[in-house]
Amino acid sequence: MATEAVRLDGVTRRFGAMVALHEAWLKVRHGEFLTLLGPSGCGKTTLLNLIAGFLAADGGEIFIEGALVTATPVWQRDIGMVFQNYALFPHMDVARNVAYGLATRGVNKAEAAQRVAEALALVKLTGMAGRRPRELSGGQQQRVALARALVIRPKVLLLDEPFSALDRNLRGAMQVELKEIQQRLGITTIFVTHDQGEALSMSDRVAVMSAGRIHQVGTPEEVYRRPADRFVAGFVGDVNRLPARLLGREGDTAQVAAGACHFTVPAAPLAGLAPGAAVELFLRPEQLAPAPAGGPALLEGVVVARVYQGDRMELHLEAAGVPGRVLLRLPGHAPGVGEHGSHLAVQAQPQPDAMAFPPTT
Amino acid sequence: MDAQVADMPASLAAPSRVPKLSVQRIGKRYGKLDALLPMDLDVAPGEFVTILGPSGSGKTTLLQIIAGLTEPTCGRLLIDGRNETDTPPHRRGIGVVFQNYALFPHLTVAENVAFPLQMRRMPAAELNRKVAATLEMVGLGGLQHRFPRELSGGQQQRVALARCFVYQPALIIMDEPLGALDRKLRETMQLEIRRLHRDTGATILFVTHDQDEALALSDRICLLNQARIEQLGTPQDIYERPASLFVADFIGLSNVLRGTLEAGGLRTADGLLPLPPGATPASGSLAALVIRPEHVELDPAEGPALAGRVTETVYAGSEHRLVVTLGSGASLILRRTASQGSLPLGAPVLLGWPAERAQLLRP
Amino acid sequence: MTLAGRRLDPLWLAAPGLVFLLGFLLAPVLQLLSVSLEDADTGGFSLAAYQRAFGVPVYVRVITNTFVMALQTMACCLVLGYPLAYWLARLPKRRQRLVSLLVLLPFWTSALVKNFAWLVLLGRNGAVSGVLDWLGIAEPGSLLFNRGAVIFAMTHSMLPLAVVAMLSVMGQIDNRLVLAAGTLGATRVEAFWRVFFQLSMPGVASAGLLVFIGALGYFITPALLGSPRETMMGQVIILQIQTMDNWIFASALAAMLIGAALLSCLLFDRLFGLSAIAGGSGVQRSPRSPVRRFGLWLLARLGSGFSRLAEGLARLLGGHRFGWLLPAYGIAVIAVLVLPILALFPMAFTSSEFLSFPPPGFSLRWFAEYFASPVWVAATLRSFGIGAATAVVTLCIATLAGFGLARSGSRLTGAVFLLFLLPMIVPSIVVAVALFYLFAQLGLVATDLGIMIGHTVHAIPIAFVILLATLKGYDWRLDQAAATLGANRLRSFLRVAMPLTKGGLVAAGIFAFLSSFEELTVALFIGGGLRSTLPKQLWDDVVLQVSPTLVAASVVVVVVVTALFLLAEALRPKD
Repeated sequence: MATEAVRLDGVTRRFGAMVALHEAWLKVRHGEFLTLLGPSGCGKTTLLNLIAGFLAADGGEIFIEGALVTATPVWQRDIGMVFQNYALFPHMDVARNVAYGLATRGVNKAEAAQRVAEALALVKLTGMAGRRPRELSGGQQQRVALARALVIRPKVLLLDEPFSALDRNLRGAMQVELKEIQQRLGITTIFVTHDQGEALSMSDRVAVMSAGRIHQVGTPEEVYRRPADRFVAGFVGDVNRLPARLLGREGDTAQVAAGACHFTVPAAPLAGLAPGAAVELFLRPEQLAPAPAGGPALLEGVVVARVYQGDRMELHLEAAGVPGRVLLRLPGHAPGVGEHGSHLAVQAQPQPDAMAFPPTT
Repeated sequence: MDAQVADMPASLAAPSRVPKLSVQRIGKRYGKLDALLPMDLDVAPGEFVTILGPSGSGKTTLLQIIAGLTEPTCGRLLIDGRNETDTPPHRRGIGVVFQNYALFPHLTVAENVAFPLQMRRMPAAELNRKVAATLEMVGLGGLQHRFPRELSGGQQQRVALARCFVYQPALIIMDEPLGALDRKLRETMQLEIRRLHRDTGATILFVTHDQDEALALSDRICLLNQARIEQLGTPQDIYERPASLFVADFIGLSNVLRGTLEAGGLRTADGLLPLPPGATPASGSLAALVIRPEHVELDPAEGPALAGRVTETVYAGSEHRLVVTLGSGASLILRRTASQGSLPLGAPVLLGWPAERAQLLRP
Repeated sequence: MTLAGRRLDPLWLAAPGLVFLLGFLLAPVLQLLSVSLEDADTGGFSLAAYQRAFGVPVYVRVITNTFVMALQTMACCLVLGYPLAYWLARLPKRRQRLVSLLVLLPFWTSALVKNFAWLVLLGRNGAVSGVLDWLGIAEPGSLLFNRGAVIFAMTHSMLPLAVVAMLSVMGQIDNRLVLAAGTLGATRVEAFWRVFFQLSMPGVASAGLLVFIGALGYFITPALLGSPRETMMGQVIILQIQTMDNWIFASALAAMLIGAALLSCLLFDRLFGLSAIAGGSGVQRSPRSPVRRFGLWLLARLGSGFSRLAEGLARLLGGHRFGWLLPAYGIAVIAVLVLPILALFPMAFTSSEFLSFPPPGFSLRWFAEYFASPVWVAATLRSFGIGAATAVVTLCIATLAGFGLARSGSRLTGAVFLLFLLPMIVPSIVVAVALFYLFAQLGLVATDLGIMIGHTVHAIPIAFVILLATLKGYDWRLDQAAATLGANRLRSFLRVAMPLTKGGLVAAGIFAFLSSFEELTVALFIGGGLRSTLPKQLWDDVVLQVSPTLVAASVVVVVVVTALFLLAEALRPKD
C-alpha cells in the first residue's frame, strides 16, 4: 500500500559538470497540491522532468503510487501534464486533443466520447469540441490542456508554469479555477512556478528551491512567516535586512536588539552564536510603520522613493548602517507621510514575525 | 482641455508653458480597422505620462506615430509647439527605448551608446567623456567593451537607457521597456527610471500594459481601450475615481454590485445600497457600485450591512484575501492584513463600506 | 535501456547519413587525392602531374583562367545581387514570398537549360542579337564565344544562389535596428551603411563563397558559350578522363579545385564562422580587433559620405526623388533572370526547321519528334526513375539525420552538421570524378544505381537544410505531451511529428527529386554512353548541334521543374 503519491529518494541529475538537482528527497501526499517554487535555473523544471520521465536520473529513485518508476518510460508512467505553452496538437481539434490519451490506451469509442464530454464540461468548454487550438484564446487553450491531462485519470498531475503566458487578470481567474478543479477531483498535483504569489495562494505545501537544492518544504504560511534560511526569506516575499545584536537565548526562542527595539525570534538559525554577536534581523515590509514622534524607533532614514500601487503606498528608505534599502508598505495613498526626501522614523508592528540569521561574511 | 490641466501636478500646470508634446486629433486606420480613433493628448515639459492599455488598445500605434515610425491617417503632432507631423524620425530629436531594446548586435556597449553622439558629429574627446559618464550613471562602468549578447537582460536594458539618455533628448519614449524582465529586476529598473527622470528633467512617455508599473511611475496615466482614451488622470484619480467599469476592472481588484437606481439608493438583489455623497442620478436607470477590496469592512459600524458566507480564502503572505458570497450569489473580495488573520471557510459575515468609498458608474 | 542509465543520444539517427557520406564522398575524394600523387608507370609517389600542371603554359593559362573567371563571376553576382536581395528583404512578407518565387524558379532551373537558352537567344538568329542589331549596338553573331558572354551567363546562372544566400541573412536582421538608428539621429542612408550593411556581411560572404566554389568547377558555360581561350579546369578534367584516360593528371586538377574550395572555406571560417552559411550567428570578433575597427571606420565614412550626397541631392531637388530606383532595378534584374526560361516556350512551338526569333509559325512538330524518339523518351523515363529513387533515399537519410540533429544535445552536432553540408562545398565535378573512379572498381559505372548514389550525395544537403528549417519550427514539447498521454516513440512520431512536418518532408523530397532530375555532371561520368539521363542527352546533342528538338526537351524540363517547384513551395511551412 503506497503511503505517498510520489516519492523521491536522493534523486540527482547532472548536465555535464553542472549539478542541476542535488540529492532531492521529497514526499508528495495523496491529493496534495505541492508547488515547486524557485528562480529560473534552480532545478524545479529538472525535478518535474525527472518525475515525468523526460530526463533520466543520474542517481536516486523515483516512486509513483509506491511503484519504482525510475526506469519506466514516460508513456507508461500514467501522469498528466500541462505544459508552459500548452503543447496542444495543432492538427487536431479540441475533442481529438482531449481524446488522444484515451486513444493510446485503447479506450472504446463510446466511453472515450463520454469521458471527453465530461472533461470538457469540467473545464467549461462544452460546445468548443470542434475548434482547432489556434482558434482559441490563451485561456481556452489552457483549459483544453488541462482537460487533456485530466481525462486519462492520471496518478499525478504535473503543471509546468502553466499561467506564465496569460495576462494578469486572466491568470487570477485561471488560478482560482484550477484550484477548484483540483480540490473537486482530489488529484495529487505538482505545480512549478517562479511566482511566489501564485505559490502562496494555491498550494497546500510549497517546496522552495535554489541552485539544485530543496531549501524548505512547508505550508505557505510556514515558508512566509517562518522561512528556514536567508534564501527562502528573501525569495518568498520582500524582506528588510537590518543589522541587529543577539541578546540571549531561552529554549526555542532568542532575543535580538535593533535600534531601540527588541524582538523575539526563533533560536534555531542562531545556534552557536554567543550573546552580543552581530546578526541580521529579517522583517517584512508590512510589519514596519512610521513611528509616532518621540516613540522608540527601530531606525531612521530618508525617503528616496514613493511608489503608489493603488491600495498601498510603498516607501523606499535609505538609512545609516543598513545595507540596501528599507521598504515600507502603507495602506492607501498615505498622504503627508514620507514625502520624497523627508526623514522618517520607523518602528515595527506589535508582535511581528521576525527572523534572525547569522550575517553573511 | 481645462480638465486635463487641472489633473496635472501643480508644479507642471503653469498654463503659460507650451506643451512639450501635443497630439491633436491624431488617428490611424489600417484599411477598415481603426487602430487609433482621433484623440488629443498634451504632455507638459518634464512630465512622466504612461500610456496604459491591454494589447490591441492602440498604445503602440500612438507611440509609433509620435516617434515618427508610422504616419497618422489624420491629425497634427506638435513638439515644442512646432508641427512635426511629417518630420522623419532622425530630425525629431526624440529618444526611443524599444521593447526588446534594439541594441546593435555588431557594436560594443560603448559603441552603442556612442552611436547617437557620432550621428551628431560630436568631437571624439567629448564623446568618450560623455559615454563613460553615462555608462557610469546606469551602473555599467567596466562593461563598455562587451557585446550586447554577452549581457544579461537587465544589463541590456541599462545599455538601452544609456544610449537614449546620452544625447539628452528632451522627449523620451519607452515602449514596454521592462516587459522582458522578471518581477524583482523590473521593480529595480522602475526605480532606476524614476531616478533618471528626476535627475535629467526629461519628458517621458512610457508605454506599458502593466497597471502596477503605470501606478508606480507616472505623473499621469493615459488609459487606452479599443483605440480611444478611456481615462486620463493622475494614478490616484484613476485608482480611486475610475471613469468606467473598464477602468475599475483593469486597474487593481474591484467589487462590482449592479442594480437599478431609485430614490435613496441603488436597488440590487441584496437590498437597497446607499449612493456615495454628491451623486445625483436619474431614477430608474441601470447602474453599478464599485468598491475596492481594501474598503470593504467586516461588521461595519455604519452604512449597509450585507450578509454572506466566506467561500474562499487566498493566502498572499502579506495579506489574506477573502471571497464572500452574498445571498444573491454575487461575491465580494476583501483584504485582511496578516495580523488580522483569515476566517474559516463557511463562516457567516456581515459586510459594509463607508458610503464615500464607493463609486457610482454606468454599467 | 539500462536502469537509471542515460538513453542513447538521438544523434545516432544521423549514422546512416554519415556512413553514406563517408563511403561515397569522403573516401572517394581522398582516394582521388592519392591517385593524383601516383607515378604513371610505377604507381609510386610522384609530383609529376602537378609539375605538368604548373609547367606547361597551356595548363597554367587554364588554371589562371578558372580562378580569374570564378572571381569575376563572384564579383558580378555580389554587386548585382546585393541591391536585389536588399529590395526583396524590405518588401512586405506576402509580396516578398511571391517575388522570391521569381528568383527561386531560375535557381531551380538547371544551368544547362539556362545556358542553352542564352546560346539560342544570343546566337546569330536569336532575339537578343536581333534587338541589339536593330539598335545598332552589336553585330549579329558577335555576342557569343567570348569572355563577356561566359561571365554574363555564369553570373546569370549563379545570381539566384547569391540572392538566396544574402536574403536569408538579411531576413534575419531586426528591422527595428534601422528604426532605432533613425530615432538616434541617423539618416536613412547612414542607418543603412552603419547598421544594415554591416549586419548583412555574413550573407554577402556566404553568397560569395558558394558562388566562387560553384564557379570553380563550371564547365557547361565555357563549353557552350566560350571560345577555347575561356577553357576552364572542369573541361580539361573531362577531356583528360573521357578522351585521354589520364587519371593522374585529372586527379591533380581535381585536387587543386578541392584545395581552392577548402582554402576559401577556411578563410570564410576565420572571418565569419562557417555556421553563418546556414544562418547561424558565426564568430564574434574581439572588440579591439583591427579588422573590425577598420571595417567600422570605413562604413562610418561611407555612411556619412553617401548621407551628405543624398541630403545634398534632396535639397537640390526639393525632396528624396530616387525611391523608384531600387524597385525598378529589382524588377529589371528579375526580368533578365526569368527571360531566357520563358523565351524557350515560343521557340519550342516554331514551325521552322531552324531556331529563329520570333518564330515564323506555330507547330507541335518538335514535340512530336521528341515524344517519338526512343532515345529521348528513354532518357526522360530514366531521369524520372532515378529522381524518384534519389528522393526516397535522400529523404530517409536526411529525415533521420534532421530529427537526430535537432533533438541532440551532443557536442558533436556541429561537426555532423558540417559533414552533411560538405557536398555543397566540394565542387560537383570533383564528386563526379571521384565517384567514377570508385564505381569503376565496384562495377557500378553505367548503372542506374551508380547515378542514383551520386545524385543522392548532391541532394542530401538540400533536403537536410529544408528539413532543419522545418524542424526549427516544430515544438518538441508536443512529443513530450504525447508521451505523457501514453504514446510511445513510434506512435508519437507517426501521429504527431509526421503530420505536423509533412509539408517540409514533401518539399525536401521534391527538391531532392529536382536536383537529381537536372543533374548533369554525375550523369555525364557515371552514366557512360549507355545510361543517358535527360540532361545528359541534352548535353550530348547541344555539343553536336542546336536544334528545335532540344528546345522542346528543355521546355519539358522547365515545365516539370516549375510544376514541382511551385508544389513544394506551396507545401513548405511558412514562417
